[in-house]
Amino acid sequence: MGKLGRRALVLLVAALSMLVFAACGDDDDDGGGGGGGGAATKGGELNVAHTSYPDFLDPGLSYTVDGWEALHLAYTGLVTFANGNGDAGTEGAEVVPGLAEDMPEISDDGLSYKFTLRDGLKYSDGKPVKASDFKSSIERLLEQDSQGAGLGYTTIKGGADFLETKKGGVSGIVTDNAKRTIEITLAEPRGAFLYELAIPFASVVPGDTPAKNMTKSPPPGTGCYAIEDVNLNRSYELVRNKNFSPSLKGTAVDQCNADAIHVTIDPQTSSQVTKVLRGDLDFMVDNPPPDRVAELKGKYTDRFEQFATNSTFYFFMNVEAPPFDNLKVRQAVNYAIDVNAINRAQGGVLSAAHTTLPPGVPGYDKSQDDLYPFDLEKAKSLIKEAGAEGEDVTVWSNPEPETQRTMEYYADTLNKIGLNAKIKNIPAEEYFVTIGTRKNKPQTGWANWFQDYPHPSDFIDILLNPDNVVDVGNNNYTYNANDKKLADMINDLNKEPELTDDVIKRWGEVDRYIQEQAYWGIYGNRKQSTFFSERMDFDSCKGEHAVWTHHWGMFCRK
Amino acid sequence: MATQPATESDFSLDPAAAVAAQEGGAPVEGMGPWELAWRRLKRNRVAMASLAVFFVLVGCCLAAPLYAEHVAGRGPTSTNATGTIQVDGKKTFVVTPDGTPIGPGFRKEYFLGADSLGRDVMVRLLYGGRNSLFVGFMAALITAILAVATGLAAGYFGGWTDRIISNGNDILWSFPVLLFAIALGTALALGGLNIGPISVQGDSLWIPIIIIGVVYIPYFGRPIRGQVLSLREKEFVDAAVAQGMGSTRIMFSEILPNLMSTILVFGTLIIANNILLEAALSFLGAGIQPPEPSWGGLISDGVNQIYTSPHLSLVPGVAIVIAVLSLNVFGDGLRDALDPRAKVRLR
Repeated sequence: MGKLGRRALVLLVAALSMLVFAACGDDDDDGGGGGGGGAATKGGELNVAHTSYPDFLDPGLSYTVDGWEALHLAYTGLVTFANGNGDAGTEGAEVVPGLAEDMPEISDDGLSYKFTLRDGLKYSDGKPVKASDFKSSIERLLEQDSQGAGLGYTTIKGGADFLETKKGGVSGIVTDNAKRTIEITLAEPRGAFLYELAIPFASVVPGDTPAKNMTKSPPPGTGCYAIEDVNLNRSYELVRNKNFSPSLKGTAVDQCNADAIHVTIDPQTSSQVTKVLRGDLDFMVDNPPPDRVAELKGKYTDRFEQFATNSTFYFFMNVEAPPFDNLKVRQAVNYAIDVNAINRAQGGVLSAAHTTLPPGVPGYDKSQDDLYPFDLEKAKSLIKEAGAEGEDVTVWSNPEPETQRTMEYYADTLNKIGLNAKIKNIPAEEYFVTIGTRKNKPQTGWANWFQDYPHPSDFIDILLNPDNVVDVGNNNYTYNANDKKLADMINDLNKEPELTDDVIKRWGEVDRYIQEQAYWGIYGNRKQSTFFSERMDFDSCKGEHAVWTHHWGMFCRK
Repeated sequence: MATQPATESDFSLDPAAAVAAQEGGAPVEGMGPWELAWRRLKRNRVAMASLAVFFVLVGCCLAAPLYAEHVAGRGPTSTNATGTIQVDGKKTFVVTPDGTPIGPGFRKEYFLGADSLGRDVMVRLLYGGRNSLFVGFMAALITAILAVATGLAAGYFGGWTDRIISNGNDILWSFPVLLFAIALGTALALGGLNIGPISVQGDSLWIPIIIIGVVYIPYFGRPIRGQVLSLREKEFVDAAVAQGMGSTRIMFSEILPNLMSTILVFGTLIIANNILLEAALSFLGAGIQPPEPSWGGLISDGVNQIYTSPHLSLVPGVAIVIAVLSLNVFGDGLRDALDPRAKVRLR
């Protein structure tokens, strides 16, 4: 090869290298970037459909997957979640710096968290981000009695008092705008606190944002998109944030491939499938109806797939309501559940499971999945041993079609093992409030939980900690208030500020103990679908995410 | 069905003479009005065929336990989602792993296919028919009793009694029937019905029966009241009053027999309406509560699989059409038979 040839080769390599860098964005050392296995195409506009409008387009209030999928793109907290590689799994479950320069300094006792904001941060309206905005954002959340207040924000010193009195501010947050520092002091250690700072509830919004529902006119944020043109119950737009902070470039926050995402509402998932096939929609947030799944699985493998989410679907059993006060009856129910039957009734959208923690959450141990293999005869003999034959059981359900089918199966199964089960239907919107009220004594019924964040306490502490049993508003439908051993195990683990290998192993042991007590009849994790239009890049930009379910910012066109 | 304009002879009190006048011949001696009506009805082949179809349907539904036990081998709520059966000598899933149930076929088990829980659709259809028809009949009975009682009182007494009853009916009528029934159904399905010593569980069949029975009272009661208003001015009522009969006796022994043809015709048609309303309520989750089958509930169960398993909604839909159509056609025939002005050949 001659001189000219070598020079041309060097130029070609340099040019190619620049192209690769440009395509991948800036190299990120904060766990951000990513965007799929291949090179993601930037630009273009996408059309996305929800079946129903998000509960709120306000980061302080929204508590649904529908809301968070959009809000995390427009709002950022001090920390956030890594983007992963766009394939389903545990990638993306890691907490990484967001508006903070680095991960916080945590004191040895796990009570103090010190952050420093990045320099030059701006909101989408161009105004600067101040350290004090974080404090006002947390106070705004508590002032509105947001559902998020039930998470760890009241663990901040003064948080619980502020929630009750709405006066005096949250004393445990000290900020210095000049130095850009934020120090958070907790009243007691909380292992999942960093995760709780990474979800949209803890997003930073301007200090003068009113403490009221801002869905109609969402406040400015710091994400790479801004929410605009909100047409309540019909549509909204995610457009590229023109004032995106330079100091966030290359971080996990900087992940917006498309220029704009038009979001509309179409209440019929079947119609959404047709629109995706026609190319009128690029992505549907909800799963296709069960009778279309087989067709999509067979004909559109190049743009359809299902993946398991971090969720647990189960039948709760109330230990305060006979016959479920008897361990043998609860074990019998576990032996009698045929996961394959339920999966068929739900159109194959379940991934079979028997553990409290789903596979994407630390502490999950596949080897624990064997405690109650399907055995109807054993279940019948346990019911006989317990002397519970013919006992009346009310199975609590709601009329949502999938739930209804599952509970009809469950009631029939309870009858097959010797109990006398009847279904009681509660309207879906009142269901959890009704079964969460202790005096109603719900014997057994349907329940599910989708993670807030991928930490074992989000499942085990919230749903099963005996110390969390209250008279009204329970998430613990097992009402196992007398299980002091379980309470001690969970409370000890809650104090661990980091998920070390030892801590993860101990959470796994708690999961095993819960199964031995057979508090729940667990039957699976819900699968979510990714279904794209033909013009979307399915191979490189699936955007499947361990926390956000789908990261729309990772979507791209071919 | 259209009727001819009335002539003077139509208003004769003697039905035999009226028929004779229409037939243009001599009076038909010795026949009472019911016998004449029965003769007219028998000659209306379409109406009689509809009645036969309806009776066959009712008979099949009544035989549901026999079919379930001796033919299908499973009850209406017995699930079998992971089971297999032999089809053309091959082992076949009742429900495939992706949730598609087996379709209809000529075999003992799953003659009309299975639903997504592996339950036999034919068994559920027959049991669903028992529930739907029972609700239709009993609700019609409640409507008829209450509508006749209130219509009689309102029409006969007039004045304040009429105003109170008629205004009550107007209020009831001002609600859209379906929305009103859904609201009642949802509320009662949750807490049941507790009025004094009467206590009905939320999942009882009596909840949709009571709801449907109540919402149709104005539709039945108004025509009754109108007819009573006309009848109370007749000479035979004056004669009864002159004889010193009490109001209750006049209403029940003098006026009520003259309302029977209206009650019978309306009763037949209201059963058909009740079956439709029950289907709508169960479809929307406010009627018969699962896992008890009903035709409306079966349609609702099948909606989510209409693409791959249309039989799940189609089969109960056809059953509803057959039941309602046969009742409506028979009701029309009954009206013609009981109407002395109707042109039906007697010989």
